[in-house]
Amino acid sequence: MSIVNEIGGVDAAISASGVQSRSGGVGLRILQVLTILSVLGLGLVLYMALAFAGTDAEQGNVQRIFYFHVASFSGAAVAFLTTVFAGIAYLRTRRAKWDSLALAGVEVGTMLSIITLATGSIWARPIWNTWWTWDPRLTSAAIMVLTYLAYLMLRSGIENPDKRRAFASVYGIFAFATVVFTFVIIRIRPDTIHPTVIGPSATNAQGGFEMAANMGATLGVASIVFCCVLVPTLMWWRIRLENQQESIRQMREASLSA
Amino acid sequence: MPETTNFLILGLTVSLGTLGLYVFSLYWRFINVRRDRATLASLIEE
Repeated sequence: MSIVNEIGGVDAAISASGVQSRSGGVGLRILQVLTILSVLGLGLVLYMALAFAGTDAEQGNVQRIFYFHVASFSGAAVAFLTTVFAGIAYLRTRRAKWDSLALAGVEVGTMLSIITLATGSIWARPIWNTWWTWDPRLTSAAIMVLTYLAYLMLRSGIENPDKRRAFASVYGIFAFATVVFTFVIIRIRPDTIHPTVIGPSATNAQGGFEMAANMGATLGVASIVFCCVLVPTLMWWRIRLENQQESIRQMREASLSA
Repeated sequence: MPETTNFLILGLTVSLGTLGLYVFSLYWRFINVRRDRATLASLIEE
């Protein structure tokens, strides 16, 4: 009983016009434990960011945003990568459960990407003296968010379920190029002002800092909490919701055809 | 050291607020699904 069983729920609903999701009480129990772990993990990250990690001498307290900024981008990348694997799995098997997983990945990833953009903008105001600039990194991150928002809008515009799932799978696979592009752009473009904290920065980067051991530990914990606990938990809840919505659709269709 | 605490508070509020909004949207959709199921079940019974 796990998320693997949970994502079978859509197929179960479709094949049997089932009202109940196939995953039972144990799956829900695991999900509830994960949810509690997510809340505790977020509390731990908050504590470490505010009290454990030292204050940056040049930037002051605003540097602490960095732990949420980087961790949310890492979490988004994990969610979007899941969408790629789910898209490939759907195209190979044509089973609806993979589309459900892909959709959950995009929804959670987009939400985390918006957090990344917003926290970056808030950090930039005191450090760069502007909320936004058309830097290569910022532009590519904005394109990434818009690409995934378009995924959500476009898939809702296709009524035929099979066409919708096939389109979304292909789109989700190709859209990941924007994530890769956003990750590598500060490492290949010399004109960016966005700092690369892990690894060498471009010479004109502004706002970089040397990471002390306690800062590194805080970033590590934040990334683990976002990537390994928060993202799977939110995606699992989203898949549960999709299963229940699918069962309602099946009930409606069955009642109309009867 | 510059005084940038206000921006930290703003950043944390936006981060946790966005996360909270998404969780609330999930909760709201679960409520709606439950309501739809109950309505549909009563319609089928009729």
